[in-house]
Amino acid sequence: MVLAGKVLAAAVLAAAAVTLAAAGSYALTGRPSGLKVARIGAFAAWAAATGAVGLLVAALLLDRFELLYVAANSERAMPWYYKVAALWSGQSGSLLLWLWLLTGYLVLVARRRPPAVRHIWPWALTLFAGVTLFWAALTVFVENPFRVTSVVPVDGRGMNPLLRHPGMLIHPLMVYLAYTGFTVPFVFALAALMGRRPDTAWFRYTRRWTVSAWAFLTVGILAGAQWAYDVLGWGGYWGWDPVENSSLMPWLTATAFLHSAMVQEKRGMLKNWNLLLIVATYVLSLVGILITRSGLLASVHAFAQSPIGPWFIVYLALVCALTVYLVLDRRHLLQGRHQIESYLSRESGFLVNNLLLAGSAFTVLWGTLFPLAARVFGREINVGAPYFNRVNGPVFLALVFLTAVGPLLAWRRTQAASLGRRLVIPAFVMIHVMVSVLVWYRDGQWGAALGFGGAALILAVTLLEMFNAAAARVRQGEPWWRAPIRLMVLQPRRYGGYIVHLGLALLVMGVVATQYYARQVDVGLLLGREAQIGRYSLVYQGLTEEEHHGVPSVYAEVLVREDGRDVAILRPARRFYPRHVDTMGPVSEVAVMGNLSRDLYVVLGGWEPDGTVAAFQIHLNPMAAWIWIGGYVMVAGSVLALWPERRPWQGEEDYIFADLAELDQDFAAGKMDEETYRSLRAELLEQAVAALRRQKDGGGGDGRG
Amino acid sequence: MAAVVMAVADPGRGRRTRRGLGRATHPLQAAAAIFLALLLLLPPAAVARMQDDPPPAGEGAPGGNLAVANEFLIVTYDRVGAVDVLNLVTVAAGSEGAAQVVLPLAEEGVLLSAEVAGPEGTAGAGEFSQEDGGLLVHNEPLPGGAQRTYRLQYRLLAPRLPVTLVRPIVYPTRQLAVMTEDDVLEPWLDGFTDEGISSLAGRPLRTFVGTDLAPVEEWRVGLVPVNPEPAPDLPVYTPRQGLTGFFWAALAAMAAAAIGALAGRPKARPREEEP
Repeated sequence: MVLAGKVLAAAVLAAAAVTLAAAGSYALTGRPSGLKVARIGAFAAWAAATGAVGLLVAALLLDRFELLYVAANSERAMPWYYKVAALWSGQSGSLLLWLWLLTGYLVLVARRRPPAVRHIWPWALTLFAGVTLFWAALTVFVENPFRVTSVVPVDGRGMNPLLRHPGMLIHPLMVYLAYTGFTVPFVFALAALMGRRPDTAWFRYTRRWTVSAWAFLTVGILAGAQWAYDVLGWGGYWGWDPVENSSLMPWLTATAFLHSAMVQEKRGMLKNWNLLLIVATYVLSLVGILITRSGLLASVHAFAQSPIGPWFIVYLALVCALTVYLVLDRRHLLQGRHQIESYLSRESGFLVNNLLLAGSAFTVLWGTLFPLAARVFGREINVGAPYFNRVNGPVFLALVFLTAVGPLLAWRRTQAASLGRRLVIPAFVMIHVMVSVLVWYRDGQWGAALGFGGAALILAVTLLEMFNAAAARVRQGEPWWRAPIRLMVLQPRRYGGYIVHLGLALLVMGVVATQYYARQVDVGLLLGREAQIGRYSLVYQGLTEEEHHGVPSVYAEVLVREDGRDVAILRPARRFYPRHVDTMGPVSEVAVMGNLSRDLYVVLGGWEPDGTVAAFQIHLNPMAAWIWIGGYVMVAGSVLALWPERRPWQGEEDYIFADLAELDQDFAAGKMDEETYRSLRAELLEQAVAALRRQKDGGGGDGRG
Repeated sequence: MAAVVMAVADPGRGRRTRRGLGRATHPLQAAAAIFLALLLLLPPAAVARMQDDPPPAGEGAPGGNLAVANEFLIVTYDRVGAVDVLNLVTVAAGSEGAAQVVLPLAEEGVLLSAEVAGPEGTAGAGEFSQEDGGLLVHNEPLPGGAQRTYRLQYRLLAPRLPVTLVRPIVYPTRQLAVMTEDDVLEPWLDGFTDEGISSLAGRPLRTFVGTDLAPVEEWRVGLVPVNPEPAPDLPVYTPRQGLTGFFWAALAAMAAAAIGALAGRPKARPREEEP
């Protein structure tokens, strides 16, 4: 098993090298044999990586402790699903998983050469093979998971107790799928520059990859936040920890990219900005890996450390240098086709949205790396939540309002009167919510009122937009129940985006409520005595000892009473993981009684030896469930946006006709005046004719740039 | 010192007094009987030690030359909503002169009766005053070298079990025994030894004994029901363990989405050109 594993890892390296050479040769010479070999090489790399991952999983499930990795990350008593999850709980295993996912994406990219990107595709494949080669080299030479121990232990050390949570079964996998997924738009962006075709074709082709990577990252961040909420036991879900930040930064830049790509798509603007955004997304995800895995920064999430830091720094430097060179060298190709004509236009809105998102990503990066910079100058400085909240709070608030107003803006120019008309009802809802928040809660704060008001504005605008569009279909004779479904089926991108906005509004409500109205009580309770929080009393009823999968645990029995009525039993616990208790102490496991209005969250802090007194940390987190609901609604929206269109889109004219349909809809909704509509329509028709002509002549690429 | 002064088991004595709550109720009578029986049943050597070897007098405590030779807490739970405690304390004074005896009640305990136990178990009269902190002061000082046994009965209101008996240990205590009915209450104590079960007055009592206890401001006994009443179908929230339903639901949803996306995907137009 050991030898086979090592051979398979080396095979990935060899296959990646072959793919790189063959794809490079094909990009330079255009010889078909290169393409064939590159495809075979890509598939071989994936097959070998699959075999290596399979072997490591088998070794984990079969308790093969002669492997260092298995001995360090698994133990006999662990349930099977945590044994599988041990694949990504340690450094070398997670690098192998990364490599496997990367080779999977490589095969998907190599499988087909779409006509729209056929000129840049060989370069993209070459770059992708280069990236895969780097990861394969890391796996083989630096962090090989198939290294053996000199003395085989009877049992393994087991997975870090903090990782034994269902969230950890999903979170790393999703984050890795996202980070590796961002490789696709990254290589196509650079390939577009290398192939001297930085038009819209590359990001149209990679849109699905980008949206799916974004959705994976959203799920990953949510699952990570849920894990932190359940396991770290401080009552919160986001602590602006360096590792948390490292997942947020690429999410912010990817979100910016998904919006600004539309500006390039519709108006031929922001070409260089889009390129830089997607490269920044990729680089920031690598920075995340660097932070998580190199031990550069202390983090509650940094569970594996290794000497990969220098390798990563060199790789990052190479990526940045190549990008800067290409952008500078091809800057004449990156000139925009149009200028912004009005501040009251969708492209202006997207531009501001981009500036805010990128600014936020930068401030998070600065705050995250500042301790490192300070250390260089011999000072130890920690940048904590107050900095991030103070800087990002207003930025996020502005983004919320922009998200609300964005769908009401038309391309080129929006009629102010029309915008005002469409904002009347949502603004009324917003003001009503803000006043209610300020009046309802005596200690109501403006931040909370603005947050809830912004969320209400998003909900009102988005729902009204969807309602108006459905109503228009109903007026044309479609049954009322069918109209919204048809709307989503026919325009999944647009309405998927709207659903993402709805999810964001719900998430904002949850975040604002927990930020402003959460309560906490730290209390030592005698047996039979109670503590009060909100309208709940919690009665300490004693301790019990239990054992699960060889892990002794102490549970506290806490009776919850609401308005004098018994409503539930909460059982927070402390677990004593035999192989970790000496170094980590017992691990807290919180008990949460949650519903849509609040989470009652209890942490068992400790107890007297006789059990007559136990210490509890009790949190009452209002509307915390809305954070998760909102997040998963966002994911559902992105899945809808990814849903295959009814008809296959292959050529650029298909996209242009879709734009025309959207333009007609915006005009019918009164978002723009007739002059703007006619001018935009003429422009799109002209592009469609040109595209069809090119198609007829056998030319590729996209002439819209 | 609180103004409440009691004279119990001696009606009509003193104007500032009020009557106690009357004769002990049935369980308390039973507990008193148990105590007397227990004295007879105690190992002779232990009794001899208690009698012959007076404990060291306390320092820094009220009545610095006093100590507790032995003490019994007999805890019964016969009625829902209340735990009854019979507390028998033998206090011994050092040779440094008379001192007032201070007896602690449990926090939030309601005193039912307090009396000085006379010879042969007969109750004697005594005048007590109660301080704010729940301490009961016997107004008749204990002469140097003398020994006196007190019998206190009080009730802890406990709408539900478990409940914690909290009180100080005022004097150095040679031996303290906590007795509970074996099939009713389980005492949670730290540093006490389980002396097993004795059947006294028809009741099986489990005895936990602690020796040489120093004065502390807060001494606790948790009283936990041996057979707790089942919670009336209350939902129980435990930490998430293993694979939750949510995990499987999310996995199923993702699989369904993937299958749907693949199944609904239209075939590409054959426009790809190989070189």
